[in-house]
This record gives sequence, C-alpha cells and structure tokens, in this order.
Amino acid sequence: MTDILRLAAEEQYKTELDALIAAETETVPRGWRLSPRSVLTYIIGGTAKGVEITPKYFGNRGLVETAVATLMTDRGLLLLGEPGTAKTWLSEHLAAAVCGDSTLLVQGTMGVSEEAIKYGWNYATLIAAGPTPAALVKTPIYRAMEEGRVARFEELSRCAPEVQDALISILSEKSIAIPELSTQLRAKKGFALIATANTRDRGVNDMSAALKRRFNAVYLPAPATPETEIEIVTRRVAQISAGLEFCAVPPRQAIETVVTIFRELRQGRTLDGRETLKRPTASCSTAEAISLVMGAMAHAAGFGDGTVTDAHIAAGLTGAIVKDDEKDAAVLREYAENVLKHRNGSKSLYERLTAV
Amino acid sequence: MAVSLSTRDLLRCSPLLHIFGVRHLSPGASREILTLCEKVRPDAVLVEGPSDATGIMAELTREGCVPPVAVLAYTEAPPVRSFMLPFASYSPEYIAIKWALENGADAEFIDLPSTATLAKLSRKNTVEKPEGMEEELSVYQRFALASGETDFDAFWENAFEHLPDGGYRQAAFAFGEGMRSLSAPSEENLTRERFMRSRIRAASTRGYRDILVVCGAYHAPELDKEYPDETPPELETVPGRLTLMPYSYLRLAAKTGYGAGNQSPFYYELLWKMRGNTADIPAAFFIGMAEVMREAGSFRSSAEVQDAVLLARALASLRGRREPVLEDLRRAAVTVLGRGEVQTVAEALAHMETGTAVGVLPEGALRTPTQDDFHRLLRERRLTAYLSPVAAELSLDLREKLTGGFGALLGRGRSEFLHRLDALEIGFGRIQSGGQTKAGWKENWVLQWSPEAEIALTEAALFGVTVESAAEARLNEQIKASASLARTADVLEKALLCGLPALFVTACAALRDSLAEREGFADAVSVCASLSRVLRYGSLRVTDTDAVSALLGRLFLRACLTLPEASFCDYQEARACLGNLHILAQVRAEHPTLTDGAQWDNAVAELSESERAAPLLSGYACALRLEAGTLDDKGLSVQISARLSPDWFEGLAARNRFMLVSRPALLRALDGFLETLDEGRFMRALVSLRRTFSSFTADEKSAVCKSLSAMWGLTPEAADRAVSGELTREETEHLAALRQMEG
Repeated sequence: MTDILRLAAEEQYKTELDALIAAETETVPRGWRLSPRSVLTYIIGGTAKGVEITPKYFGNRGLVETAVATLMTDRGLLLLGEPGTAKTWLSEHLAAAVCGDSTLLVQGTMGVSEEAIKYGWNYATLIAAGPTPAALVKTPIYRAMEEGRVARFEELSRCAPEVQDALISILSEKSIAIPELSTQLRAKKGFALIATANTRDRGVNDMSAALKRRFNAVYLPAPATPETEIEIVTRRVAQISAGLEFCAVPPRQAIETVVTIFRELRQGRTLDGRETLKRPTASCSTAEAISLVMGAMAHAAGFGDGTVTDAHIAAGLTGAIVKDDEKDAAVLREYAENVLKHRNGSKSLYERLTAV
Repeated sequence: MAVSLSTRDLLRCSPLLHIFGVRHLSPGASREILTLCEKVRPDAVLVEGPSDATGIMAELTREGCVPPVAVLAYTEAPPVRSFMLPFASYSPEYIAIKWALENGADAEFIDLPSTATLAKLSRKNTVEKPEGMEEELSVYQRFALASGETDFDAFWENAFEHLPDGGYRQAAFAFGEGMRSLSAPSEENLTRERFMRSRIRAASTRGYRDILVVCGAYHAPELDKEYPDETPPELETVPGRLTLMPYSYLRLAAKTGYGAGNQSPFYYELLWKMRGNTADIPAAFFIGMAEVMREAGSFRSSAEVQDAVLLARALASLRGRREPVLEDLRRAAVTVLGRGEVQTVAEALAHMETGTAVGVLPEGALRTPTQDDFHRLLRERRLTAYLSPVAAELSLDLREKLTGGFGALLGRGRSEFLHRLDALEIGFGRIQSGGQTKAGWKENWVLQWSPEAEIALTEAALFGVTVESAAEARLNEQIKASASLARTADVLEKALLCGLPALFVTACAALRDSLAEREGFADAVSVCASLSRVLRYGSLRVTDTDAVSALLGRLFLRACLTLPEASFCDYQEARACLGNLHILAQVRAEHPTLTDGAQWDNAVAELSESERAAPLLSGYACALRLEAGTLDDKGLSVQISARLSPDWFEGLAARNRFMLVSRPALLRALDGFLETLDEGRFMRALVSLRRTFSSFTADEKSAVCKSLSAMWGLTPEAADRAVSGELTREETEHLAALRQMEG
C-alpha cells in the first residue's frame, strides 16, 4: 500500500493503460499515447487483450465521443455542468489516457494572474543575470506546450476576465510569445487544453465571446437514472475507502437511500412523480452524495462497528443540504415531514433527522 | 446478380431485367439509378406502386408539379380508409419515372392496385398502411445496434448513402436477402411479390429490350426469381379513388408508421443535391444552420462553421465512418454552434433536418370532387381573390334581408362557407373574436391561403365529396366522440354557423340525451352560454329554435340549483365562479322568458344571505339584488354591518362600480370597518382593496376620492394631492411589502 493519499489517474490505472497501449492496433496521433478509440475504451469501459477496463464515466457515450473528438481537432475542450457532475474527474482521466500525465493543471481562482498561465520569472536570477531562459519559470500550460501534452484548467470562470483572455492567443495560435527573450514557444503536436467551468458560477466571470468561440463546449448532465447514480456512488466509494484503508463495506442500502433523497431534492419531485417538493439552493450532486456516504462510513468505521446506520446518514445529511442558505433547513425539514415520515423504511431516518 | 440472364432468356430473346432494390426516399439509390439509366437506357421502367395509379404518372412529372407530393388512395364509401405514398425530389421511384417519361421509355406501377390494398385495410379495421417492413423494424434496430451503430438511420446512412458509385445496388440486394433470412416473410408480402412478378412477366412479352425494375430492397431478391407456372393472385377489391396531393417535409418526418420513412427529409435532399461532392455536405449543412441562426439574431461566424466541420469529421473517424452522418453533424452542431446547449441550435437543426418544404401541384392537376366543389363555391361566393398567401380582412354583414335574389344572400353564404371550411380545419379563414359576442350580425374574418391549407383541402375528400357533406360528416364524428356536454354544445353552435340544419337537429338531440342531471355549475353555465349564443344568431340564421330554448331553460335551472354548492369554496375558486355567475346573469338578462325568474331570484337571495359561501360571491349577489331592486338601502346597510369584509366588498364592486360611488353610506361603513382592524389584518385587507380599486377607471377613482374626502373632512384638492402626488419613501416600502404579500 502506498503512502500517497490520492494517486494520479495514470498511476492508479497503470495496468489498464499499459494493456491498452499493448493492444493498440490503430494509428496513434502524434504526441498521444493511445489512439482515440482506445481513449474512448478507457473512459467508457471495455476489454483490452483480456484485461478488463473499468468504466470511468457513466453516462451518455456520445458526450465522451465528442470530448475525445475535440481533442483530436485543434480546439480546446470545455466541460460544463453543475457542481459534482464529474467534470474534473473526466478531465483528469482524458489527460491521463491521451498523454499519460494528468498533473499539468492550473487551478482557476480569483487570485490567478497571467504569470500562472503563461510563464513567470525567477526574480533573483532575473535581476542578477537579466532576462535569460534560465530565469523563466514555466507554468503547467507552458510545459504542456513544450512537451506536446494535455494541459488542464480547472474552474475557468472563476478567473478574472483579463486572465482568461490570456488563453485566447494560446488557443488560436498555439504559441506563447516571450517578448523579453525575443522568442516564441510553439506548441508541439499533442498539445491540447481541457478546461472546466461550473454552470452555477455563470455570471461570476463569464467568458468573453472570443474565448468561448475557441472552445468546444460539452455539457455534462446529472446521471439520468437512479440506477446509474447508485452505481457511480458505489464504485467511487469503494475506490476511496480502499485508498483510505477503511474497514467499512460500501453499504448498498444506505447508498440507495442517499441517492433517492438527493435525486428527489434535486428534481423537486418524488421519484414516483406524485409529489412536488421545494428544492434547496444547495446542489445535491453526485459528488456530494459520495462525500456523504464516505462520511457516514468514516463515522461507522471510527465510532461504530463498521455498519452504516441511519444515525450516521442523518448526521451527514443536514450538513450536505444546508450549506449556504438558512431556508434550506426548512426545506429539509419539510421534506422529512412530507416524504420520509410516510415512506417504508425511512421512519428511523426521519426520527434521527428530526431529533438532531 | 446484377443482371438476370438465364439460358431461357437467351433462347427466347426476352428483355434484360435489371432489378434494383431500394429503400424508399433514399438519395443514394436515386443517384445510382440515374447512372444506370444513362448507361443501359431501358425502354421500360417498372416501379413499385399501386398498379392502378399508372395513369397518374404523367401528372407526377408534369411541369409545375414540385415534390414533395403524395399519391392518396381512399375508399369511396364510409368508413373511409386511406393510405398515402409520398414522393420527394430524391425518391428513387420519382427519379426513375421522371427519367422514363423524359426519355421516351414506358413507365408503369406494378404493385397491388390501390383497391386491393384498401380492401385489406377495410378488413383489418385499422388505418395504418400494411407495409411489410413495419413488424421487421425492430429487427432492423437490432441489426443496427449489433453493427455498433446507435440507430437504424445512422447505420443506413453510413452503409448506403455515402457509397461510391456502383456499390448501392449490390449492398441493397445483399441487405434484402439478409433481412429475408432473419424472419419469414408475411402473407401480404408474398402476395405482393407474386403480383409484381406477374406484372413483370406481362411486360416481358411486350418486346422491350431492357426493363428496369425499381422496388423495395426487401422484395428485390424475390422479383429476381422465376416460378414457372405461377399465376397472378386473386385479389379482393373495394371501390376507391386515387388522387395526387401536395405533401410537406413536416409530414414526411412525422410519418413513422410508414416503415421506410424519412426522419430528416431536408438533410436527405441535401445529400441528393450534393451527390457529386459528398465531402462538402457537412460544410453546406453548417452554413445553412449558421444562416438560420444569424437571421434569428444569434451570430455565428464562418470560423465556427469550419470548426464544426472538423469536429464532425473527427467524430466520424472515431466511429470508423467514411464520412460524417447526420448524427455526427448534429452532435458537432450542438457542441460548436450551440456551445454545449441543444436549445440554442434546436430551431436551426429542425430547419436543416426536417425543413419546411411543401409541394405544389399545377393548376388543372388531378383534383378530388371536394376540391372541385371548393373552387366552384369560391367562384360563386366571389372569394377567389382571397386565395393568396397574403392575409386579407373580410367583413361580413349578415343582415341582408331574404327578399330573394342571389346578392342578398351573399353575406350569409360566405359566412356559412367559411365556417364549413373551419369545421374541416382547412385553415383558410380565421374569425376575429369580439365581432361575435357583441353583434351577431357582423363577422370579421382574416383570409389567407397556404400550402398546408391545400393539403388539408385534399384530405377533406376523405370525409365527403362536397364541402358541405364533408363538413357535416366531420362534425357528426365530433358529436359521436364528444366526451362532455360543453363539447357537444360547441358543435351545436358550429352546426348553426355552418348552416347545416340536419346536423343541428342531431346535435340538439345528442345534447338532450346526454343531459345527466349531474352537471356541475361550471359545465351548466358553459352550455347555457353556448345556447344563448345560438339563440342570438337564430333570428338571423332562420332555424327552429324551440328545442334549443327548452334546453336552455333546463340548463339554467340546473345552474341555479347547483349554485349554492359551487359557492362554498376558497378565494381562488371563487374568482372562477364569479366569472360564471356573471355569464349566468347575462343569460338571464337576455332571455327573460326562457329562464325561470323565480328560481334565479331565489338562488341569488340565498347566495347573498349564505354564511358558508365565499364572501366574494355573496358580495356579488348583493350587488345583483341591488340592481334588480330586490334589496333597498336599508337592507344594504344591514348586509354591510353583518357581512362586510374586503372580499365581500370586492365582490360588490365587481358588479357595479357606479353604485359604490353613489352610495356614501357604503363607503362610511367600509371606513368604520377598516378602523377596527389591527395592523396585520389591515394589511391583508389592503391587498384585497387594492385589487378591487385597480379595476376602476380614473374617473371612478376620482369620484370615490371626492366621497372619501367629504367623509374625512378634507378639501377635494388635498385629497387629490394625497392620491395623485408622488409616493413617499415610506409609502414605496409599504407597497413593496404589499406586493410581496400578494405573492
């Protein structure tokens, strides 16, 4: 067992990637490690020379195809969606499959400046010896262009617009001008950019039209059916708990309960469609569900006997739903009164929830 | 298998048979057929289609006939069964027929005659075309999924529509054979193939050199075979009619029951038009979309079009496709032009996939008797000038006296004609509302002819041979299918407007029979309103109105009796009820002799006294009583002191605002009441009062102001200033809070 808390995708799934490379029969684009078809197989699952390739993304296959096809063209890929719909996850795995390196990542925040996107300076060397290539501090995007790999940009819409626009020339000319050195870095074949943006952050720092035009936007929806969502949560929880070395078993019943509650609150309607419900402002996303189940398992493993009970779920549920708005507490209470109280098997959960 | 050549043929010097299996509406097939025709130059072309429609072929290719058009076959006698055979500009059958007639070759339809197919339909008691491919569609779906495609259309397009020249015929033949091996052919299909073989044999004896046979891919392997001593099948037929009608891409896309239908006609037309350079199709597609989007106001640049083309090609190569198919184009469109969202490009996609094309038939083309009747009536009613795509207004006066002479009847004749077309849903005229309720003798129409109307007119033939009989049959159907009293009453009204006395009697009887004495208040009032309108027209459109009067009386009574129960409701429902009560009062006012006055007065009095009724309604009832004179001022003040509340006041004001203005006692009482309320209740009352007064005109408001100012001892100017001056900040805040309360 490794010391590292969370391995990069290319390390975690090294066996699968190696098997795919060995079984490769089609042309591999310059700078890529796998052919587009193999990348697709890696993401949606399949087999390669007897090795089972687990699915990484559960959802519309067409969306993944569009994403891979975009990387084949010279446009940037923009993954949009509500929080918790696997945008970052997909971006990581696409990078791992295409170029074997998912670590060339820029995290977008309000504080990100152009230096974090293009290049920075080692000021000591700069002052001592003047502008030289040695004084240049390379950003992940710079390195990706230099080596012909995939660069990732998370939360694009959280950067200031001026900074976002630094990407425009990178995407259209595939080069970074370094006026201080009178040179230009031209991207090697295999360079691609995958960006993610939250639709809930729309309007925070909307991308300029010029920037939007240089991306192919793929919208990732929430899982279509409860079964898909349950599968996603189960798998992911199993992976994480293995990594955390938990002694708790992913609880099927608890996962089903949590997924049902989240779906109903998300849609504003019970699963059988009979009752309409108020929707909380918090996004009841799949990622949130995963965290909740993990929390419950941690609770059970640490303070219980390893079996997840309704008490553990109830403890985490309020925290998961009531995040920003006070009113969400009332929404949750209403949901408990109207739905949980009368549902078979949710009685104890209801009691725990209202006792809190 | 490309050429059917046996020793028998050689010895007898029979014609060379070129069997070409196609999928209907397939541009790939059309392309190859054209090439084949140019190479082989057949002197006879046999096409899969109703053999008795051969006479229509000339019409199909006449100058001025623009596809999409369809052959329509229908039974003469009811119950009418029908089926349609659509032809688009890229239909292989259409292309083949056109080539034949332009190059002096003989052309013939060789499938079962329409009379036989109609007979089968009549027996089956269903209205769907018994295309053999229907049941096997799921087989096709499974086949497509097994070959790694998402659906059959994507599979077909990739496998057949982008083939280099020469590949289609063989591929389609192999496909037909494959399909036959998957499941046993139906009785129907076997009969059809027997018939077609007999027609081919018959043609072979006429001394042709080369015969081209265009048929469905499923049938091609069987038509190629020979069965010695085979006789043509015995066929059951029913009398039927054939006609040609314009068709539309919209309908083509919607017709999924027709096994070899076309989901995206415009796109397939594009495939046909660009058959020489299919590599440019994605660009043409996206350019078309960008044009639509630009016109709608969302700009899309040529750079984005280029990027979309690149993405489409990448998607196609990911699937191992030679060229992008529609699915790839669609996905690329959403990603690039739609920036991830489907709604942005939905309209443009629909435009480029389905398209809005409607076919045209030239003047003097084949017409149904109904169409002939339509045009004759158009001339007689002097409405031919209105047969244009430009909308025009027409005002009709129905008061012309029946003093003989044709001209006097023109207004009424036109009205009846237009109403009959409306009953047939032909979409020629739209009546402007407002003209009807106020003055029954005046009608304002807006007339506009459209290609869709042409289609609907042709289909009207399915109901009857004249406009009148078709309208009558259609309305009769509606009476039979009517699920509610209100619906039947609507048909009754329509029958009157259409001038169909026999139907009127039927509708009346149906109405009478379906009266279950269980109708609720709302239903009863709705029918009363319809009947009242009928009686209003009645004097103008001479009809027997006794039956209607009797019905009105009964329903009015019913409404009165159900009023108490209907009035026990909350505020929201009371508002709807108020509307109905208003209508009922109107009916009473219009027909004092037909409606039971005592019952009405009783019901109103009960409502105004009722404790349980919604205050809105009892207030209204009070106002009714004041109007009728059954309540005097003293009685009013008793009511006020007992019942006053904001809702009650609203109801009172809803009836007659002048009355409020002219009775200061009322305002004084209201003022006194408001003084007694606490903060919370006062705010709620304010909400209701605001609603009431918002319906007052400016004059009425100033009159109320005057009364109030007199009451409170203000000068009129001061009151005016207070009301019409600028709102203070505090007042604005209060208003905002009020609005929030209203929700």
